Amino acid sequence: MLNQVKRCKPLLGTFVEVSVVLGSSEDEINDVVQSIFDSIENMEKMMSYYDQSSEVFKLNKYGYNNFIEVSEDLLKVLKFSLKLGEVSEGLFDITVAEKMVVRKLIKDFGFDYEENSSYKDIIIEGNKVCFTKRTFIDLGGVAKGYIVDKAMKSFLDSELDIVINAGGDLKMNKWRGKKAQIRIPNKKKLDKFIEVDMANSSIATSAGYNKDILAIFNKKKNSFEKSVDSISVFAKDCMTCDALTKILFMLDKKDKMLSEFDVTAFSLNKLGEKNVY
Amino acid sequence: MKVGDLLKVSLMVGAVFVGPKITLAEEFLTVDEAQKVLWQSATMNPVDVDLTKEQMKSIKKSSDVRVINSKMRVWKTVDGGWFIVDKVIGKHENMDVAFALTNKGRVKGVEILNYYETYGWEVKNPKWLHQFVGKGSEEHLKLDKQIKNISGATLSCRHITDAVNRITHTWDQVLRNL
Repeated sequence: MLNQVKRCKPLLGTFVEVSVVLGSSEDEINDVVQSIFDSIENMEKMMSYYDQSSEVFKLNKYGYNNFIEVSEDLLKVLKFSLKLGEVSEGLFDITVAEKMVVRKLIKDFGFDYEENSSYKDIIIEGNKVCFTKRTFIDLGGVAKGYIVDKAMKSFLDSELDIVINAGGDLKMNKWRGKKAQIRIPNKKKLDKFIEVDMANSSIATSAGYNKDILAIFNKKKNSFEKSVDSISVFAKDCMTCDALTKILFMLDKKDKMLSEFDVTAFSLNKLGEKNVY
Repeated sequence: MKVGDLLKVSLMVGAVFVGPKITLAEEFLTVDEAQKVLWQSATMNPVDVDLTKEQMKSIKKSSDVRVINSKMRVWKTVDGGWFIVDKVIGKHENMDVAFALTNKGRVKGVEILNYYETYGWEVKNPKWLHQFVGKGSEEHLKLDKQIKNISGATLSCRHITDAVNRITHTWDQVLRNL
C-alpha cells in the first residue's frame, strides 16, 4: 500500500504544500517532508524582506557604500536577478522595491532610496555585495522559486514522488506524465481550472485574479502592470519560472526571452483559452 | 475531526438561496497527526477553554483581530506548551489550523489541517457561512483524494497572520493563567 504524506504551512507569504508518495514507511516520508519545510524556513529567514535578521534586511539597511558578506544562496539569487536585469534590459529590477513600498504592497522600513537607482547599482565582488547608490531590494519576484528549487535539490533523484507547491510555484521531481491545474483568471469564476501536462519539472503562474493591478512594476512604462490574462512558465528550475512570469507580462516580444532561458510559456484568458508563446 | 465532517454543507432546498459551493478542498493532517508533527511524543491533555465576553473584547482590542468563537479547542503539554486548533475564515477560503505555542507563549509551529474554497455565491458574512460548516447533512460533499497541483494561487496568508496574532494574545491574557 502506498503511503502518502501531505502537509501545508504558511510560509513565503503564501501557503506551501508538500506532498510525498512512496511505498515505504510513513516515518521515513515524514522526515523528508520535515526536511523540506526546514529548508524553506531557513531560506525564508535568509531572503525575507520583512525579517529584520535576514541577509536581505541587512543589505537594505547597511549595503550603501559597504561591502556586506552574503551566503552562497543569496549570492546565487542576486547574480541571477542581475542577469535578468541585463537580459530584460532593465524590465526585471529588484530595486523596484521602492515602488512596492509607495503602493503599500510591502512594508516601509525607511530604507534610503535615490530616485534614479537601479539593479545596475548593485555590485558583487566575491561573496560580498555593495549598493553604489542609496537603494533597497525585494526578492519577491525570484526568491520563492529558488527556495523551492533548493528544498527539492536533495531529492531530485530520489525514488520518492515529491511535489512542492509554494502558492503556485510548483515543482515535481517525477514530473513526466504528471498534470497541473491552472486557475482561469476570471475573477467572477475563480473556481475554474484547466489541466495541462507538465512540460518540465517546474511551473509558475502569475495573475491578479481578485486584483485589477499586479504587483509587477514596469519601469519603462513607469506603472504597474494591469491584470488581464495569467502567464505560466515551464522550466527546469522554479527560480526561472518565478521570474519569467513577471518579465513576460512586461514584454511585447517574448521569443528572445523564451529561448535565452530555454523555457516554454503560455497565457490563459478569462474564457480559459490558452495561448502558447 | 475529519475533513468529511467539516464539509457537510446544508443545501437549503426551496429556500431563497443554496449553500455556498465548495469548489476546492484539501486535507493535510488530522488533529492527532498535527499534534505529533508539532509536539512529537509530548504528552498533552485537553483543556476546557470558554472565553468570556470580556476576554473576547479584550483580546480583540489588543490583537486588533475579531474573536468569533468563545469555545476553543486547546491542549496543554506536561511541560506547559500549548496546542490549539482554530478555524480561520477568509473571504473565499476557510481552514482549520493547528498552532503550537511554547510555555512562554511563543509560536513554535503552524500547520494547516485542511482548507476549502467557496465560490459561485457571494459570501458577505463569514459568520453566516460558518453556520453551514459541520452541520446539517442533506448533502455530503465527496472530496477528491487526489492532490490537486494548482498553479495560480488566490489564497492569502493575511488571515493566518491575524490568527497568530489573536492566538498569542489569547495566550497572554487567558491561557498562561490556566
